[in-house]
Amino acid sequence: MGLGPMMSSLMRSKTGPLLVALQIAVTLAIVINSLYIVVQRVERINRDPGLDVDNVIIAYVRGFGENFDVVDSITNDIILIKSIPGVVAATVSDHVPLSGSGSGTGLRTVPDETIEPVSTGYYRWGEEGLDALGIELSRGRNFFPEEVNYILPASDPPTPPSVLVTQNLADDLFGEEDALGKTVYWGNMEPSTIVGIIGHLHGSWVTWDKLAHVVIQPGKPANTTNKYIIRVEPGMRDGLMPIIEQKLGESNRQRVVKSVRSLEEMAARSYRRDRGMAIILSIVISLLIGLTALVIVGLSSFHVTQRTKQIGIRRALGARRGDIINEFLLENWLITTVGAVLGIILTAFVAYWLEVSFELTRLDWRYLPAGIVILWVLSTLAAIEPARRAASVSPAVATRSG
Amino acid sequence: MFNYNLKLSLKSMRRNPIMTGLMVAAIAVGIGISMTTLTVYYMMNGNPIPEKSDVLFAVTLDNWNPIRPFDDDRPERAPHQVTFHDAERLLAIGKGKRQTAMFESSLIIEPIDDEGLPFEAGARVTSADFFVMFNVPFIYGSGWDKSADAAAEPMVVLTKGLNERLFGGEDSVGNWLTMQGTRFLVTGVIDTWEPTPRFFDPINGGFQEINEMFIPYSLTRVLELTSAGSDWGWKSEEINSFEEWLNSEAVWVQYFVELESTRERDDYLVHLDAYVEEQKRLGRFERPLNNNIYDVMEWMDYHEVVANDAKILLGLSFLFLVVCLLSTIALMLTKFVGKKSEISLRRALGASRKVIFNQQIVEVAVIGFSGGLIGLSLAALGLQGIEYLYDAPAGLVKLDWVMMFTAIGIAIVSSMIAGLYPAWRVCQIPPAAQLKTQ
Amino acid sequence: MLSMHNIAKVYRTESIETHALREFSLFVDEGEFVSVTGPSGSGKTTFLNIAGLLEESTVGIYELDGRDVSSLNDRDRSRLRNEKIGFIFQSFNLIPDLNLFENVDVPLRYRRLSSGDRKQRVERALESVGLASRMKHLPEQLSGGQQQRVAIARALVGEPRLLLADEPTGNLDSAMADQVMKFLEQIHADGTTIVMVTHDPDLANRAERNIHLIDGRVSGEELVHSQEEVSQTVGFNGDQPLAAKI
Repeated sequence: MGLGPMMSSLMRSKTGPLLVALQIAVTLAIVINSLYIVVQRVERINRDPGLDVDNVIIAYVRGFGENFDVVDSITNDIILIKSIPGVVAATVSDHVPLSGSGSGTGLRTVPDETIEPVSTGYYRWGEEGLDALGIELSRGRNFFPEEVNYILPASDPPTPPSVLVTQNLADDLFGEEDALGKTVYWGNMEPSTIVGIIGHLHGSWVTWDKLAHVVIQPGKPANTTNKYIIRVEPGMRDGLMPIIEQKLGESNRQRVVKSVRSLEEMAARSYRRDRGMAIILSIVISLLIGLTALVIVGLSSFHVTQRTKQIGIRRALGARRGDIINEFLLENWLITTVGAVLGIILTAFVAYWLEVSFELTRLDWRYLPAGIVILWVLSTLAAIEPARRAASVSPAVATRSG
Repeated sequence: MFNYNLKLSLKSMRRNPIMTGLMVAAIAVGIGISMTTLTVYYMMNGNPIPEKSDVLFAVTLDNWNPIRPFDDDRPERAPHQVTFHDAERLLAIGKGKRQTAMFESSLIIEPIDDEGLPFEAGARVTSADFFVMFNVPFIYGSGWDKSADAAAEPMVVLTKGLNERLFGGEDSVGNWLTMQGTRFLVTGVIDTWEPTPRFFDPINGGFQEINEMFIPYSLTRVLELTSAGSDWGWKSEEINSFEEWLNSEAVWVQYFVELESTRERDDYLVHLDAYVEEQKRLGRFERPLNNNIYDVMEWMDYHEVVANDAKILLGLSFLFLVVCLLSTIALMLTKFVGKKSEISLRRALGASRKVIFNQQIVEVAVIGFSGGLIGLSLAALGLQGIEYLYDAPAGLVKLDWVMMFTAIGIAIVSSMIAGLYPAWRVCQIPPAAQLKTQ
Repeated sequence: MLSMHNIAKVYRTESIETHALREFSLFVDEGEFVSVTGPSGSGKTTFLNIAGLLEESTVGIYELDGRDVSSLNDRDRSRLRNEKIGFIFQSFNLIPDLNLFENVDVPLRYRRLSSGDRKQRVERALESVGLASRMKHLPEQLSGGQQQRVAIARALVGEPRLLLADEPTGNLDSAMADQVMKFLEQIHADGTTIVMVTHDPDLANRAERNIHLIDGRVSGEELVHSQEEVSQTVGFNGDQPLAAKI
């Protein structure tokens, strides 16, 4: 049977095939848009944060009681932590990258309040900060130990002369020019000099579009809660976490060890919305594809049963098995293609809705042909077994009356 | 007749178990997915305090930078929190029916006996009206008196969970608790209280658990309490003492007022403007007058408490339901081809079109109901998965009665819609056509 | 009982018009047993469909039991079918996944009857065709003749005034066919009007009157034998005697 008669056969029983085509269209729209979101989220989760996520431990401690001296406590804690075998480097910091908790500020290249500052994440940590996070300095130098001083709560220390910035921040501040050695101005119009440039580093808030803007001041923040960033030898993290917690707990009873966690876990927590969305949408995609495939199998099988007599007659008139299979597959392919064409339009509508209502980036058009190919393969796979069953109908069926 | 139709539909479903299974599965999966996302949306979009949501207002004052607004994308908005000292003064004036200022903090609780270990607990630092304004239920005792606010007396209200941990769940009112060297008197223990979203502090997360205890706002100065929530500043101020920090232009306090009538609201706005005018004379509030009050639901909208992802999932999952329904229609249409002879026989034996139509609709409803029930269990499973994936407090998203009825309702109504056309087609079968041959 | 005047039935498709019946008139009296014969395509089935209110005529007047039924709506036609007409088909048309009781019960389900009432009637009908003991069986467990007897029970259970039979013995061997014919004759003897379409002249001759159709028109009419003769032939040797009045 050629294309012409087949089309007319399809048109005669138009509702059924039209429904399947519609189903395929909506499936395409959901699958393509969901897949696009999944890929984006996975890409986001897998971005390089510019630090050694796997081997960093974060400890939170908090002192209380009247005799508690926060500076003593931090000094002793860092010495204690570094004495534990397997620890590579440690520092106290006011915030932890990727943790969801941080500070932000604005920097300017000229001391003029009327100019819009460049927003950036902002940290204060000691000379071992880079080492403790496994951050690579691409140019310039790290802080000298003598530049690093304790910063007491409710104090306003002088603005430090030296700062580190990420390349991304440097580019947004100075454009083409080399930022190393240049001066930046803080909100109070005090200047600092860029002494080192970090090739790449992510700050605290993973959903922020200026995540790669980071400026670091030298300092040992002595706040109510002290955060220690500790890097350990590869593979030793999970073993060392309880040891660190225990030793910190024993060393000073005027202090509570709030928690000891891996940076990996904290980063995963920051990305949990993206991961959750990716997982949910993957489940939706799988269920949808499974359902559509099953429906195609079910309907094709039913049609084979319905047309047994007709197939038998055609076989008796000389159609080969291959002809019958081709006919079924071609019919199925036609329906899928009609669905795919409708689906492209629908996909565009959904993509538009997502773009306009939720500011998602515009759908990459290459997903469309990919989605259509997937549907073709899928619907052919679903129809092949029923088609083979159709081909196995005996020509003798034609002569039976019942 | 209904019983007979029910019996017939069960027979018809059994006659074609694979088709029936597919239809039920399609509806179940569609309901399961869409109910999961709808429940999340419903939870996020819910009214946390329906009885008072239109008389409670969040207050914003514009003390921001004279040269740029608080939010560049929404320049009409004032900062979403107020300064500590503005809140303190507004509380003292007390112009609304009730008012409260608050922020999140945490304290170290020292052990009651020798065996325990000190631990940190989250605290909401707030004022006396908090409990009455927000209808907080108490198991034991009550909130503290306004006099405690005025005198900065160390008093504490515990949550059920913290009272369990500290006092084994007994009535602890009148007991003392040492926190960071200060003795606090327990004045009350609140019962389970989970307003969702946590409307009084969407800034620090609308779906967090509430803090473990409540202490008077006036203690902030005495105990030098700092905020564990977010703070925002714009002005370069020299801060060399806690006092200077409290008097700075940084905003980190949430301020709520209860106002019953439109008149009270208008009066309150006038009062806010007068307060800001007075401050302007002292050289503060350099931006144009921009004081606002937002009722609870406006405040939820302001902070976009419903996550975009939840809306996207809701939209996509309803498209998914459409696919499931299209499947169901296609399967039903196909199935009816197989029923032609029986239907024309029944027509010949005296069944009118309407009777046949009803019979089909009952079958469709049975399929919809079964699909809906299975879908409900899938949704319950899905919600557990979501709690796990998003690390939400256990039981935050649950299927309440409203959701269950909605699910079954959507299942039946949507399968009815899916079944209408096939049923209409079935009852168009003429009574004679199929009788002669089989 | 049944009066057709100038009935015509035209089937139209996009390209062809088929005249199944034209200027067809027929009168069947209360209590008559009429057979309808004719070559294939002569309009026998169309006549039966119109008579049984399964189809509507294109033009003409049809009166059933003294009532003009040409322009009734679906609901009223369905009710008339259910209450006044019983059908017997060539291929039995039993519903395969209903047992005998449920099959016979089908027409009663479309009336407002108590379940006790329905049960009594169905049992009586099945008794009358000698199959009461097999009420719970499925059709496939029966022979063809037995199946047709169930179909007869189903046709009679609603106490119709008119019984329409379409080749009732077409799928049966001659012994079973004879048995079924004897049932029909008994039903007729009990006062029910019967119109039977058949292509078999021997069967046609067992009715009181034969109508012969060619090309959608009555081409001949013949009185076969009188009512008295028929009642003499009663006394068949079926499983059980037919109830006097069902």
